[in-house]
Amino acid sequence: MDFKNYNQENLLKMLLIGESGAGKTGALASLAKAGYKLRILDFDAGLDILPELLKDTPEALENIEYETCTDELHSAGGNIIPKGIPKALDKATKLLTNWSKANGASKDLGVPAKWGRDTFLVIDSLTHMGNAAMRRVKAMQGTTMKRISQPEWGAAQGDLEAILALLYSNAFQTNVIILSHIAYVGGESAGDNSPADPRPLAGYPMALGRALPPKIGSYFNTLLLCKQEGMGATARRKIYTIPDGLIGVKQPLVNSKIPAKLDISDGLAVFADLALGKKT
Amino acid sequence: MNIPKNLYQINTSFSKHIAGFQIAWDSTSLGSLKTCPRKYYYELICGWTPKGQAIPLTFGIYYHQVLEQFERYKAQGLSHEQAQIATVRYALQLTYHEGKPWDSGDSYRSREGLLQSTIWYMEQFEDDAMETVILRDGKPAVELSFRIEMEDFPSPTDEPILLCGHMDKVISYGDDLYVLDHKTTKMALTDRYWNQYSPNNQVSLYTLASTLVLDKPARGVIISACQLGVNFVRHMRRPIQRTRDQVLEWYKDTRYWIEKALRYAEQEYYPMNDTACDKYSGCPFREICSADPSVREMYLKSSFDKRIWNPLIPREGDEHTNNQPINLKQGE
Repeated sequence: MDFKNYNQENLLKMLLIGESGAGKTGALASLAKAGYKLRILDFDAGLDILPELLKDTPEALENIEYETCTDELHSAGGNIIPKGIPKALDKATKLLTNWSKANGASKDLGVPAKWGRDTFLVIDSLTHMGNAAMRRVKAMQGTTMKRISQPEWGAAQGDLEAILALLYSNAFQTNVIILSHIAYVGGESAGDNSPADPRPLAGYPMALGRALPPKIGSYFNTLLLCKQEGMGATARRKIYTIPDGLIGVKQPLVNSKIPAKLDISDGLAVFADLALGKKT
Repeated sequence: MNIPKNLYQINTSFSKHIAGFQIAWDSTSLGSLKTCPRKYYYELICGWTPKGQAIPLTFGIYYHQVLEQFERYKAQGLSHEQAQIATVRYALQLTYHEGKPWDSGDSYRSREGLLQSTIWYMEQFEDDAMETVILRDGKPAVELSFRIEMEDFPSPTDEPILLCGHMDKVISYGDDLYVLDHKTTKMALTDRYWNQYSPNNQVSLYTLASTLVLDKPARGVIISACQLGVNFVRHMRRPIQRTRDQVLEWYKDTRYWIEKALRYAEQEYYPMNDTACDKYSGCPFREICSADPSVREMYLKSSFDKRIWNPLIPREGDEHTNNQPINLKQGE
């Protein structure tokens, strides 16, 4: 194999991380406007921003399909617990195999692994997908979320890693974007009674505890950061393509003239077009 | 190597026509063969088992029987508390022999440990979201013994080649079916414990069998594990799933291994896999294989007991079950 046509053949599989409200979900709009299809597994029930941003470009909205993967919760005996059996993660894993009505989708869209370079499979968000994994593990044990044992952490983290490994594999021939909040791991205790961590403080994709976040980046060659700069009326949301000191932003386009910060309004589309060789 | 010509009379899972060729397999016998053909020879053909290994097996049988009885009491309509009390009474009676309580001599797998583990199971899973499936004949899908004929295996005799097993229970969980299998262990329920189930003969076999027994294929097996401590128990369940392609691959591999077993039987020779001696806390036959061939029989007689492992017999102690093995052909 050689690299002659690498950018025309490879896929873009990336993490987009940011604090709540930094614009991660909204950033997807530029991809739809640029003609990419988005297939979203929505664990956050927070896609409202997309129809708002795309209300003047209905053809772009047509490029988006989503399935909500949430568990119904209720209060029982002072605890917030799933109502019935948690199904969010099971629904998502089935759809990742075959996005079909038989698997709970509203439309038959075929096998995600074969959607190709014009489509992005989006997980929004890894953080809440992790919570769904833990609820599923706990429900099987017949125990509440009040106290989580080490094996239960391991089980939920294993479920999450299995999904990441699937999306990362060469057999999954579709672009992938995983949105995630930020977990700060390492450094002195943050005052939450957790033990001091000898690793330097750094921000990672947030998912299930402290052991998994530093490993998630290894599944992806591209990790970009959404960040809000400024406050109030002058606040601007940006996509960082270079490290910011705490977050290990990485991307392979080191020799292209990609700005260190992209505007949220078109940044993902600019990046995707470059990464997929559609523009130079 | 000595293969009794009348082995099939001692153990009906072996061929009448080719001495030493096993025609009815389960995950235990397959696992033994895959680990080491010599180990398989000692365990399955000669029927040797290490002294003292009976205790984990006995405890496991009791554990299964007690939990099965609990399910029967609930199916009869008893309340949870009533079923619990009746089950504890049953467990005490089950483990009382010849005028005295069962004494295993093991601080983990003891009568007290049995009561502790089963009582905590009933407590933890009082509001169990996993429902036992009801089969087409109206019976609950518990203690299901099955035999699958490998129709596409070119048997050298007229005897069918069978894959056998015994499912503890089939449950529905959400929209999916699973085979639920109880396990007891002294290991901590960390990833190291769970990793042994992928790949795994039993999980793959049960997933295959479920496609033939049930109206809808099971998504996999849920291992309901009980960690036994001297003063504590811990229960945890975890699904172990298999895709269709994984099951097909396992079936293809199984054919390969049974063909190997046929070759060994025809040649009357079972080679050692001397890279497997350290596995699973060390092979119990290591000292035998380390000794000169002339003294091995003497060592076996002094350090091992005889036990016949026959996959065609559903399970020891299951005389009370009404379920006859389900005989299936592939594609049925």
